[in-house]
Amino acid sequence: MLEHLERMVLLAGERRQHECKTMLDALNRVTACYRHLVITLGSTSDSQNLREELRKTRKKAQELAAANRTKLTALLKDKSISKEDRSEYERLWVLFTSSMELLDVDMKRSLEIGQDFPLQVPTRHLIQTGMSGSTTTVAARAMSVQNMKYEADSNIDTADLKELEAEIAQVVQMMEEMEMKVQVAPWAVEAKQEAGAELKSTVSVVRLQGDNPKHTSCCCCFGSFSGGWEWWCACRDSSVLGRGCDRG
Amino acid sequence: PVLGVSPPPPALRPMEQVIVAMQDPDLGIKMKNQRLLITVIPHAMTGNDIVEWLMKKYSIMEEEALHVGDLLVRHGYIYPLKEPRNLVLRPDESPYRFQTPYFWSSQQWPASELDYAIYLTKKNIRKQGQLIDYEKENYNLLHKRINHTWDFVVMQAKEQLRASKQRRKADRIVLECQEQAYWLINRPPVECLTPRLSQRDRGKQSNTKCEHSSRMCPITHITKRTLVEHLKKALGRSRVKSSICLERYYSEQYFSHDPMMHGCPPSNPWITDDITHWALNTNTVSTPTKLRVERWSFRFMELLSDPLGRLKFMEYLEKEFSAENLCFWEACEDIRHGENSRIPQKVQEVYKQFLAPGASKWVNVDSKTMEKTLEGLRRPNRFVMDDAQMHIYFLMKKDSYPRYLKSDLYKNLLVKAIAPQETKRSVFPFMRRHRHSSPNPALVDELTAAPRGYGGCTVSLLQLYDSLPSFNCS
Repeated sequence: MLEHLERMVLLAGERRQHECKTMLDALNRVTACYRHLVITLGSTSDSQNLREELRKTRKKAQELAAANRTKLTALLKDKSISKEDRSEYERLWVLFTSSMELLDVDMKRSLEIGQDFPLQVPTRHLIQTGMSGSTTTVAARAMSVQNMKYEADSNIDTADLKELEAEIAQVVQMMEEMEMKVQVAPWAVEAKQEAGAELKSTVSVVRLQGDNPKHTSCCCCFGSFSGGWEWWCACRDSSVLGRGCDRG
Repeated sequence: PVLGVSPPPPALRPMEQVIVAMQDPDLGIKMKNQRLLITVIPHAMTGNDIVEWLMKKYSIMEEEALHVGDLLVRHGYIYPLKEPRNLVLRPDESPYRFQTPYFWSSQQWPASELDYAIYLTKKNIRKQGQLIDYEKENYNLLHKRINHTWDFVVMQAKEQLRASKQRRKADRIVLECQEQAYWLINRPPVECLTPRLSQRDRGKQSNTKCEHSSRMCPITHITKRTLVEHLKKALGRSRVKSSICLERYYSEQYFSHDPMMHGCPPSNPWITDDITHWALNTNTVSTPTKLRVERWSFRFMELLSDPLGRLKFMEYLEKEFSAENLCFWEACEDIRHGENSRIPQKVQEVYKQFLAPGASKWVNVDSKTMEKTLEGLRRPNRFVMDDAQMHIYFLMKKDSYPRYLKSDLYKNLLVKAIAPQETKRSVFPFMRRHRHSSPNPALVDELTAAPRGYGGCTVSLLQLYDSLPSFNCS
């Protein structure tokens, strides 16, 4: 009977950990997508849609942040958990705070750039960065939906800013509260991953959407202008004149 | 915002305003397309375009336009497409592109270590482990420095890569170029500044490396210069000797050796009439006291000014075959404090014994000091050996003395040293022991030998007078 109870407790503990990790993964995903969207702000591919995507992603991020915070705080306050469990939760806590750090900065930057580059002005002065596609799939990924639905008004670029300011204040306050309530020393946490661990699972990252993996590792293949130049391949560090790129 | 009225122009810094002006659909720079193999990426311009536009817009000469354009590149508002690491503006057909506002340099948003770590990890994945030297170094450094959040770095790097997979190829390429340009500005390669190289290597290697990086990244040059100036300033700062800073330590060190504060074990002879304390501390005692031996470790001068300390030190030096140093020092002291008439003779002896080439107890004095001393020997005076003595003193202080303190000889002395117990003090510390007046020395001599021992005579005067054979006042 006792064994059975112990197993139940263990399973419950594992389930809790698993739930935490899933929620953190979700937050991590939304943070990455949000970063991606903010980078596009102020450029020629900035649009009303982008602003709406930003807003929706942001709200999703906040929901996840609140959920994560509640769960982790409760777990860390629980005195009955074992030492191993506690150090694992502390590690998750550090992951959570790092995610929030990125989100916080990105939210503030999106406010700043959003203010600097309003969309509804007679002379558009968005920066021609070379980006031309839309970010709708990125946002869909963040929201975990098949397709994004756009329903905002045409003045979202300015109307959203006030909300954004309020939300930033909320996030800042939440982070302050977190630091007060939870006693975790971040420097005491040891990472599970070693240096270069990301290379071991390269396959899963690179082979998405059926892309040719070799080609994605080449980041700078420069070709000609319409004016006609040589081909330059700067994949390696020194520029090497070559007859086109052998990748893809 | 009020309808129909456009918001005020953004409050951007001057460089940013120039960049924004370049975007004007009518008056801005005319963009071209960049054609890669099958991908076409819009919004590229040549260095020439930039210079010409600046000249026209601001009515300036080509030189100034080139300078302004160069500034824009150096600060990361425009990045080169052909040689990404060469952050200069070339007034030719070299292609450039505008950087996205998120990656503009900003004092308010300095490049963070976390972001750099994520970037390097992404690059590591994309290049399948083939990072450039300085990037590899930075990667390893960061892995140590922010190790506690490294799992997050890996997680976020993977997710950011997955997010960028959602974009079309052209946009993905642009994104990678943008990021690379940003980090080339904010974390430029700094191979030239590695202090690890030895003097010999530094001469050879740094030349080539500096050339390389100056060709590739002019910003490194600027950083190097400021670093050199900073180091020069650092050299000029005054440094205080630790012996002076630690002056407070002096009184703490000597606290337990101070008879006033701590008493002298076993007891203060002046108070208790017990001379054990002096007896234990003579110059010829075989086993010194603990306090005394400890004092020798405070300062070299303490050791030398205690004759017993000198003796024990000499024993150690004899084992090390460097006893001549101490002998020389003692001989010099003798000259300094000895009789005036004997100085020339002593000086000659010292020269013969210690300084002459092939001397039996030759001491190692540097050539400059030796020259000066030999000069002075022609007219010997009390202080002629001072320089040489000082030289040998410091030699012993820096070399033999620390080793002596660590030696077994000294450690044994400490272990065997006597630590006499404090005698029990009487309840009333001010109570004096009975004093007896000592007999008249003149009278004592005539009689039988006075009782030995300190502490007063036990014979009373009356008894004394009585014992006199014929002392009668007539």
